[in-house]
Amino acid sequence: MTAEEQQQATPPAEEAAAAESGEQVITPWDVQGGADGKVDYNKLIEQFGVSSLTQDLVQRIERLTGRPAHPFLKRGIIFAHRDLHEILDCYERGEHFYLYTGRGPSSEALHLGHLVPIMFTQWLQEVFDVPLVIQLTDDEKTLWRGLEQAEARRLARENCKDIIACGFDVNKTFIFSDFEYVGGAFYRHIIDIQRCVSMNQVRGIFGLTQDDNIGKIGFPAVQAAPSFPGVFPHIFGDRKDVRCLIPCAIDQDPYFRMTRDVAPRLGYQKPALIEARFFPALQGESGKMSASDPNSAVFVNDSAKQIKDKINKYAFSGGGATLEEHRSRGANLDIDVPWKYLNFFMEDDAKLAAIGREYGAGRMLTGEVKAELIALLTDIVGRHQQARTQVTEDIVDAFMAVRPMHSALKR
Amino acid sequence: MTCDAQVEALKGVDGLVTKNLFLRDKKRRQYLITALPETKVDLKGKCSCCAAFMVYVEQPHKALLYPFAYKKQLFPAAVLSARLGCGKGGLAWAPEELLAESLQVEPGCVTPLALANQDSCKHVLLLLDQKLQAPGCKFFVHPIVNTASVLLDAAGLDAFIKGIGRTPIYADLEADPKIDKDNPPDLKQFADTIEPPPKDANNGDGSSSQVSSASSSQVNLPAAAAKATAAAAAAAAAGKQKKGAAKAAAGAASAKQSNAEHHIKLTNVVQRTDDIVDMVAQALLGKPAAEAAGSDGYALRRLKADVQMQLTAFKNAAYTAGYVAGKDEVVAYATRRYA
Repeated sequence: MTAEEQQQATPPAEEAAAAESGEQVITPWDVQGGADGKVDYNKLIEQFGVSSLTQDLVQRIERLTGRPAHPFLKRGIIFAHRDLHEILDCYERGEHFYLYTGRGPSSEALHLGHLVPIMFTQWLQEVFDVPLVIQLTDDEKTLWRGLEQAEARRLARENCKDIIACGFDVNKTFIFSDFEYVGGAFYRHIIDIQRCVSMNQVRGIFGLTQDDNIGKIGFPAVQAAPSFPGVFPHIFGDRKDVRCLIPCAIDQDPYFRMTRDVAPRLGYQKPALIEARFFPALQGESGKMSASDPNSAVFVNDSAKQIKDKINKYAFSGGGATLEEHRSRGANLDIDVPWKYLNFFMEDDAKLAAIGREYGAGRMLTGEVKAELIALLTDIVGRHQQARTQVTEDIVDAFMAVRPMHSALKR
Repeated sequence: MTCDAQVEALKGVDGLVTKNLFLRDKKRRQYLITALPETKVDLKGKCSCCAAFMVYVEQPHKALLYPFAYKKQLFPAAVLSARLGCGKGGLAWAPEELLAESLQVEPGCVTPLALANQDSCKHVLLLLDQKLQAPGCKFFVHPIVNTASVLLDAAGLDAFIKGIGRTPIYADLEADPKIDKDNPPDLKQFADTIEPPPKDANNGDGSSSQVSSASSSQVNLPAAAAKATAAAAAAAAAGKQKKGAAKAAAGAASAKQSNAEHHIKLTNVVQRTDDIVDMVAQALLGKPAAEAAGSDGYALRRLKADVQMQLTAFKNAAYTAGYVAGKDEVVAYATRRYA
């Protein structure tokens, strides 16, 4: 469940009041910046009570894995965490952990904002060499969006292909749709969790009311359960001690707080979190990316020409209004969308820094920065499309098969 | 000889016999516990106070040697195991080979003095019963050679321990402290000072680690389904077994598991990407890829990303072909298509 997808929910009174007064409001169903439209991440860290992901942690990851850190880590895009230290301690001791992430298949079209957490999860799997489970919440989409079940299940499989195209290791990755996998150990855990959470708590996190259907009230347990290894006996056997690390966007944090609260009562350790900033819409921080607005984002099935047009026409520029103004004052990197996108996707630190200097000083022009970005995104999206064409229905079946994967725990 | 008979035989001797337990955890760290006979180390089984007894009585006309064989018991020292941070069932008797390898003594000859073998004992933690520190307490330990006994007190033993570069660690071995998230295991800090021995490919020492016992319980799957896993794994790689994979392990399920692991290692896409790109650069340009790319780091990164993507797609297709074949094998068997 992402921020952009929960528009019908009524936020509880406190959040509404905060929004009124111009403060920022971040909940799993709504993201609003403060009075200036920007999200204050430091305030968020304080408000949510998460830990800041500092550079020394990034360096520790580099030391432990022997690989350079992902650009998202180096540039503070992945900026917060809960219990990441403990996961790294685990790893250092040779103990196991696994990754858990998910996707709500509400639309066929994925955009770059969706890809960011998925790409980061793939990188985590690669450098730590750990098992991964990916939940496709087709049931959630029928409950909230009123999608027909057949359509939700179809979208789940279609999204699955894009996920597989990001390069996960089939030996260690289990992708499942709720409609197919709920039952057995999964269902037993769902009931255990539901028993521990009151309606009041759920209402607070999800903004539910008395008129909401009962599926919505019970659903949070379905999304919480995969944090516990007992849900996957074909991967973990009867082990209860394998820890879970959840890469997600920061707006999911309130949701996983519920999960962490429940964990000890079920005899499990709390899942750890590693959290990302929001990916900006093309129109800038105040805009919202939406599957229904094609010009709000770059989509993974965009052609090279579409990418070029979108960046040139719609990517919000922080450059000067005129050439003279730009040369003299430089670009406002704080609000410049192409610059922000480069921070996400340009791997070359030195080159990025140079662009930042030159563009910030007004020596480099918006058009040139956009050209760099277009080249980069064309490569990334093109490669993704090529990978996706090679994902067959049988490959989807293989990733989704409930097959023994105990060897996924060996390194 | 039983413990009681032992104590009876030593009635006239001015000194206490010690019992020395040699245990190991799942990471193959070893624990040498030296305690007084009556100290209960929470062992289960008939003989609740000893694993190995070493008593020498130095009398010219008698050389009494009372070795006791290790007793196989489930979950020895469960409380101690938890206190060391190994979980309740984390400790097991160390097999004879470890005794020979680490302490370099014969079975029945376990003694703290064996830690003089500093190199071979670096994965051993020595844990001493704090009752040995009681004032006036003198106790026997076995010297490395079996022709005499050594009568020590705690100070003397400490001097030896410090002399070999260790710190003496005494604990109340009978304590049963509460362990929860606010009360971490009290002896774990000592266990953590010991490095586990490195893992090697031939790690099939029959140790019942939780993962392999979990997979043996999974062996209740129909044999054909287990074969399907093997078929899928076989389709994904060349197929020849290496010695590590074929090594006798604790049963069919574990053998299949190491097959799967072996093949998983062969499908490491990142390494192969680097190898292939270098191979091509070397063949066509006569130099490694990084050199051939020169200053254009992006071109090389993009190439590697493309190659890695293609290799992953290839791997997925191969894995899936094996998976489909495995499924078909099960269906064919069930429907007796080829009977």
